[in-house]
Amino acid sequence: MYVVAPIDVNTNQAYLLGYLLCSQLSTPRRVRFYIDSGSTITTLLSIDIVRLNLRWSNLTQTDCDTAIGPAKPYELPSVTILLKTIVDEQGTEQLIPHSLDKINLLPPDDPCDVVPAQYEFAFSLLGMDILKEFTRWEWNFTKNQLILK
Amino acid sequence: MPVLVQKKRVDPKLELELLSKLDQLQQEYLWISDNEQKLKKNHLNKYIAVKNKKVVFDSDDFEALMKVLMLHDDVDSFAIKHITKKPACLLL
Repeated sequence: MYVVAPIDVNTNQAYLLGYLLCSQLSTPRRVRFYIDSGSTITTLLSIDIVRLNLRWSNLTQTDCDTAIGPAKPYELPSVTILLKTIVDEQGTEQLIPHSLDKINLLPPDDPCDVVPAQYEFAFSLLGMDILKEFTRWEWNFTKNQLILK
Repeated sequence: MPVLVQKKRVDPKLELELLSKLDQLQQEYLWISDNEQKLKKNHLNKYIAVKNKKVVFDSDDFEALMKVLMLHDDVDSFAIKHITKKPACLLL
């Protein structure tokens, strides 16, 4: 089984489109995630949080370190992310669920001391909590694809 | 072969529809990527919403854009991007 992540030709970064499910959402919602091996935990950023109309004020806050300083994301519990996966040699596609105890939210009013999340920084991040399930990564910059197996 | 926890699968009837919608959105993002320079020329510093490979809405303000999109049935069918002059540089 494998997942194909396109590589954005402008940033050379791989991303995946998937569906997010959680108790706050009545239907699966589409989210674009950058593949981010530097993120321990999958994280939704401000544009997606607002677009999905997620509420964070009653969620638990946690501490984490980022490349530009500390942050205090909110923890969204019991999340499932569906990713389009090729499941056999015939190329059959299925949406495979990846269940997580929690993901992080960095909403627009995030009390991050260094750089508050802004709408310019739009891209949610698929972290190692899911990425670790793929034991082989094959980068192909000719086809602009990252294959995760 | 990665070890995946598959406790549930999406209803196969629903799955086809969800996959199709994902593919459609993928095409919108690819179109944005392929047309980055033209978009910078015509929609600089704007948040754009793209559907069917056309910019259907743009706004200086993201929340104003979202208010317009929320009036539509399938908000997720729009690919949203902020078009800026600065070269793309992400630190993740």
